[in-house]
Amino acid sequence: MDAELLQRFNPEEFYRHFLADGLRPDGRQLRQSRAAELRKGALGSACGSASLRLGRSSVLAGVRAELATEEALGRVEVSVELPALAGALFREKHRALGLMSFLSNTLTELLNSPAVFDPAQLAVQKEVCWMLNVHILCLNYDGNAFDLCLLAAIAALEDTRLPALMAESGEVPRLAVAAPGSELVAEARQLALLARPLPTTFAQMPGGQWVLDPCAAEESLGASVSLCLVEGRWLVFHQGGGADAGRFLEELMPLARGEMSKLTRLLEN
Amino acid sequence: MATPSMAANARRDGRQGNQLRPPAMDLRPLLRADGSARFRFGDSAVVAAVFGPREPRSRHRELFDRATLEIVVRPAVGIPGPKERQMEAHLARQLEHVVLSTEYPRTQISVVVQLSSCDGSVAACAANAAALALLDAGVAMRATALSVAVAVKQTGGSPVLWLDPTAAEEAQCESLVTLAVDSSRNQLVSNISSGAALDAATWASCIEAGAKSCKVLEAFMRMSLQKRLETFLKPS
Repeated sequence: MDAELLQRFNPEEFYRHFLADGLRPDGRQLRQSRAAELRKGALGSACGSASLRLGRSSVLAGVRAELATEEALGRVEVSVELPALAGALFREKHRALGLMSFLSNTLTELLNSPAVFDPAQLAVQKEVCWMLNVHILCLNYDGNAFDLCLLAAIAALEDTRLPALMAESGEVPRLAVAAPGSELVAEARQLALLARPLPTTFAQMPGGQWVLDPCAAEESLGASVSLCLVEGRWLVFHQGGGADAGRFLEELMPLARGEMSKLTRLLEN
Repeated sequence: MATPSMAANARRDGRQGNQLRPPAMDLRPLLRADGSARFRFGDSAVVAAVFGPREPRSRHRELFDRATLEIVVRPAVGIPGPKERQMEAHLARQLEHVVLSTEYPRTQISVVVQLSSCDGSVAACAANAAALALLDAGVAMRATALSVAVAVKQTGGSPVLWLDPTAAEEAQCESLVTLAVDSSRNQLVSNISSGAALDAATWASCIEAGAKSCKVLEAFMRMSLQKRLETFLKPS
């Protein structure tokens, strides 16, 4: 049968041919991730931004800071958008919404956890603080949404510089972004994370092997698991498929640990 | 490193750390659905209904080689929010693995999950209700994957595991792991962590505790179903 036909009508068999040789159809080894390309400060209009490419997947993340009054503590709110533009998979609204809510909720929870982010750096005055909205837009989807969105969010937050503030007189005195030469109430400041949560995603292939950094075709074959390392501890997001928990511990977690230095290098350059 | 313990002392309802709340299941509480089930863990209760396999309502939902699964989760009060949508997506992934969808090409199977009272471990309750409703509808499945939640409380020394936490216990604990286990093959079907991250050993003991209680739950399910299925099981 024609290779292209086989891939379309019997992807499992198609993959089995490659996996027998320890290769994947795009030429990668089983434990090889795609080339990543990160650019910080991709948007001029946001307080902080980043664009990330992972093979053919690409996302754009921007941080918008808003002053909030009557809030005790600032927060990070993440919203992930997967438009139909990013892939035919998301033409069906219901499916896209499910993945979007999973990513938005999980990343919001992760980036607000006390081990990762210190909300004290968002405080301005008594009862005035910054709220950060991290908006992540997927431009092209080819698998591994979790790693892509989390890394882009981290890079955008680390790129964020909160603007200086001045007091604005008027009927109701309030704070505004400082004009040059005005008297400052708060200095501009750079955000920092306490620890970087670093993700690694694996997908399970028909033979039961796990491959690193799956593309969309590989994800659709079966289970996938995203491991997220926060200060030496793990968060595990495993969806849809039978897997041996022992293999996570013995095989995937050490592998994920090995990827950390590469991810740190990516975020630091 | 200290090993995670299952201390009894601090649970308000006097349960052991590795004790589930009394589960209850009720098959076919809804008569108009093709299959339905109510599942409860103590005060958490969920009703699920299955419609199908039937013709999909719209053409583009139709898949030529298998059934389309549609999951709808409705909250106890108000309109569905992001939390319910996340639960829908999670259930969809899990049930897509469990249901033998290639047996029903070009059809749609709808699962409607109505949360009716929420007192902790709601996601696990919903997954169990959905699985039972599918069973009641007679949809072919490759496994009975039942679900439980484990909460982890970090104390000074070793972390404490609380199986099947109530809402109050969830609020007290730093992390919550919801997992589904296929006990006959001894496989982990899904696992979602939330809250603080766990070290590998603690995570492993959560999985172990969860897998054990899924086995217990499955035995309980078999017992409750025996009565209903007697007529099918009896040799003619």
